[in-house]
Amino acid sequence: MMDVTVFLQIAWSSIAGSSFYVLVAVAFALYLKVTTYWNFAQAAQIGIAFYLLYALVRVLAWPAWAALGATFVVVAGFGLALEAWGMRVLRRRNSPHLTYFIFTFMVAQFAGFLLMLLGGTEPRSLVASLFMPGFLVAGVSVTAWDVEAIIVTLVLLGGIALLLSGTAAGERILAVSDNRQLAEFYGISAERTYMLASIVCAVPIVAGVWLFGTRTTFLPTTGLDLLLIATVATILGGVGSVIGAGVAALALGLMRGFSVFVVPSIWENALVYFALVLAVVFLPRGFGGLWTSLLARRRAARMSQAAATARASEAA
Amino acid sequence: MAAERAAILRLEGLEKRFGGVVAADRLSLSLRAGEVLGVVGPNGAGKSTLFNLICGSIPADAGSVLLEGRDISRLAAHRRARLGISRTWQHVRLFPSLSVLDNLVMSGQSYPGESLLAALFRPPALRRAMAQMTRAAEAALEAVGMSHRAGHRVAELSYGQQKLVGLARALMNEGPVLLLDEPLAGVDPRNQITMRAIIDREAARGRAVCVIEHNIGVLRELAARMVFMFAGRAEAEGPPAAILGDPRLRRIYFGGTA
Amino acid sequence: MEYVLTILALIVLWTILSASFNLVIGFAGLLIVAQPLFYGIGAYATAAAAMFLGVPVPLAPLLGILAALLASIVLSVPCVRVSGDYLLIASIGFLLAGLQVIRNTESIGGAGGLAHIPALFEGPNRTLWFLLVSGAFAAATLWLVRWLVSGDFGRAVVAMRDDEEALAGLGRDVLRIKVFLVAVSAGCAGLAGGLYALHFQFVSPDQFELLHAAMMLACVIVGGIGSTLGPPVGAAIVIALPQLITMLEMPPAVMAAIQGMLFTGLVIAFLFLRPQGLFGSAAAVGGSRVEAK
Ligand SMILES: Nc1ncnc2c1ncn2[C@@H]1O[C@H](COP(=O)(O)OP(=O)(O)OP(=O)(O)O)[C@@H](O)[C@H]1O
Ligand SMILES: [Mg+2]
Repeated sequence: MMDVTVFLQIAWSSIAGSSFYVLVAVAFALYLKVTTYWNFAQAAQIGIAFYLLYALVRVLAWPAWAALGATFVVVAGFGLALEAWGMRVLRRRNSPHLTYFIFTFMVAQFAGFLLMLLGGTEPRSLVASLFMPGFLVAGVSVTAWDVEAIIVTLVLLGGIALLLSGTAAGERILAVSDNRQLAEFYGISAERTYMLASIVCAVPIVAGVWLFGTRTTFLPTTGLDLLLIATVATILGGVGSVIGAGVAALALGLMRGFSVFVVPSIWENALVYFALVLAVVFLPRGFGGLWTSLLARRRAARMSQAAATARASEAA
Repeated sequence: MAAERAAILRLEGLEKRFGGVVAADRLSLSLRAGEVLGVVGPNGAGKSTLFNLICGSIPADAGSVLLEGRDISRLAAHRRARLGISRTWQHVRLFPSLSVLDNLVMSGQSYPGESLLAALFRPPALRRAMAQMTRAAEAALEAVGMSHRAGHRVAELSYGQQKLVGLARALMNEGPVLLLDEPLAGVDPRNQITMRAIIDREAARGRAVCVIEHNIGVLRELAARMVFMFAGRAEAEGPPAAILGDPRLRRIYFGGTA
Repeated sequence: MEYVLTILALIVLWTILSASFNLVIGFAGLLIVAQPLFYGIGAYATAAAAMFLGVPVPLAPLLGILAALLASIVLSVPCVRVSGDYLLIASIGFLLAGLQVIRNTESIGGAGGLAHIPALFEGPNRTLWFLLVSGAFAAATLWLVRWLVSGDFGRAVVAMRDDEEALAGLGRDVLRIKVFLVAVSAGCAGLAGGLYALHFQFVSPDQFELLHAAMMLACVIVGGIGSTLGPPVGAAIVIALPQLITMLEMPPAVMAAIQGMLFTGLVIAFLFLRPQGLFGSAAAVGGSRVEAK
């Protein structure tokens, strides 16, 4: 029914096409892990990154590296400003989680409107033509963009993993995300660590936007759409697991790629959103959590069986 | 004598982990009618967790809770309370937005105001039922000597007074099991006498009372039996003199290691 | 004049929406932001009842209420046991999935929307009549919210907001209270949707987006979260303020952007400068309240 080449082609394109989802999901999950907040303001960062890249690359014709560097500085600066004048104030006030949601969500919406004002509502892309010539590898068409996307994603994920596990800064980030009080007791400033995390998050965001913008078109509302997929991935991957979020984003990309065989494409988005609801209800701790709770349940069943036999023998 | 008393609440192999922390480790215990069971152990031993597992605020990883022979392990916290598991909290947890009397009024095994019909229509029967609830709440406040504070906000009370109100709130539930988490901590000596009298009285009425307490001097007078907890385990169980006389347990309690 | 009446009518509808939204996020303490979907379901069900099922127009909103109520139960029964942020995420997912379903259902107009809905009132004074009727419903909604959060049931609602774990430990069925409050709130939103459909005679999925949840949040925050008087004032400000911009001559895309920035900026300003809103109490927005870990 589906021959191997078609299967490989879809798998390859969806893996490459998942790259920006993976990067955005990693940024979202990392911020969540460190601060415990769902930072929807990252949608604003995504939007700013895109329109700035657009202005620098397409209008001012800067070289890509310079544009990416400048965009990173602006996006990271925006993240820092948000921490210093937004999140930190709310934390000082001991605000309930609802307030952080409203704040980050309103920032995302505000940025969406601002970018609509500045950039208009027509779809834009970072390259003049989205047509990409491919070369055939074992019957599968591979484009330069595919290769770039996969390499960039792997390099950045590796870099983040190295940063977290192999450097003093990463140690601080992990310490604060494990136990903020304890980390502060040992002299690590949580606020400074949050700032550091928001700088780190800017890297995959800018890279993800670059890949997105060189493959397809962007609208002022795209930032929130990307972030919603990141949210689904974060939940499916298990809150607290950055790698889990990345893997889940990849799985979502593959699922969307292959879903064309199962459901008409107009239902693709609905499927993702339903997956979100179901994930929250049935798998609030992701697939990793599912595994642990299955183990716990098996153990519980054994225990209660043992208790029942004990009671029976006691009665006899 | 202990053997004559019926076990009202039985715990079988309760287990609970919080990440790497084992807060309950194969806990098996029983509470008997008319008896005060004392629970002691160092900070973080899992005493409060034991209460949370009994009342269902947190789900156990394994094991079961049997109330009068019935397995209630799968029931939600509110169902267990309605079956007569009444408790206080270590940090009281009164509702700060409500008056003292209002804190009590809705803490019985049933609460007529909770029904959705009552929410929308407030039928006359509700008013009668509520008047009865209010009388019960006033009586409970009277018992702990806090009647003069009925209309006050929780924030206006001292910590010791809040503990008394917390006890009164637990007394609104007249079920067979009463769980008290450090009832005497932060209470002045005069009110401690009131508390102890109430604990004795409730046990004499045939309830199974379980008291967590760091004040061992008081607890040895109150409790007929004691459990020593450490690292989520029931390390030892027996008459107070035996528990308190065991040098190993004393070392754990004061030294913090086994 | 007609223009002013129309704006007033919108304010009145948004009073219903934000007052009922406030019941859920302000009083029940639940982060459910699917309110626009309940609003939309109310509108669509009302329109469908009047257009396709032959229900007399004045009775059609009853179906809207019922449909919204049922939808809320589908969401809340499985979801209210998960707490805080997760509930928020689930409700966003539910909202977006529901909208996608509406977009993809051609029999109710699909993405293009549903037009030619019969009107509740005809004739030259129809807006005035509509304003009076929906105004009465808005007053009833405000009264209902007050009624539910006071008295014997309200006592449990207040206690739930203070410490729901303790309340459950004392024997009160917290989940049922929550599901009930969400259902009442969704029913009110459904009513607002029904009224909207029968006056403006056109509904489309674009009117019930996540953006509109942001607008409802704006009404609640500006008016004061957890206050009974705040929502109408918040709704008046959030609806009327952008209208002032329309006086300036600008292309529609630019105007929409500026209006959007205006209300989101207003919310951000309120969050930092006056978090309790115009009428709220500081207790509802934290300050001293510490999240139970
Ligand atoms: N909800 C929870 N989440 C994570 N860890 C918890 C939770 N509740 C308890 N713990 C941990 O479980 C262990 C046992 O805690 P518990 O409160 O039961 O101790 P305790 O014996 O009551 O101590 P204390 O005498 O200080 O009241 C502690 O290490 C505590 O940090
Ligand atoms: Mg304790």
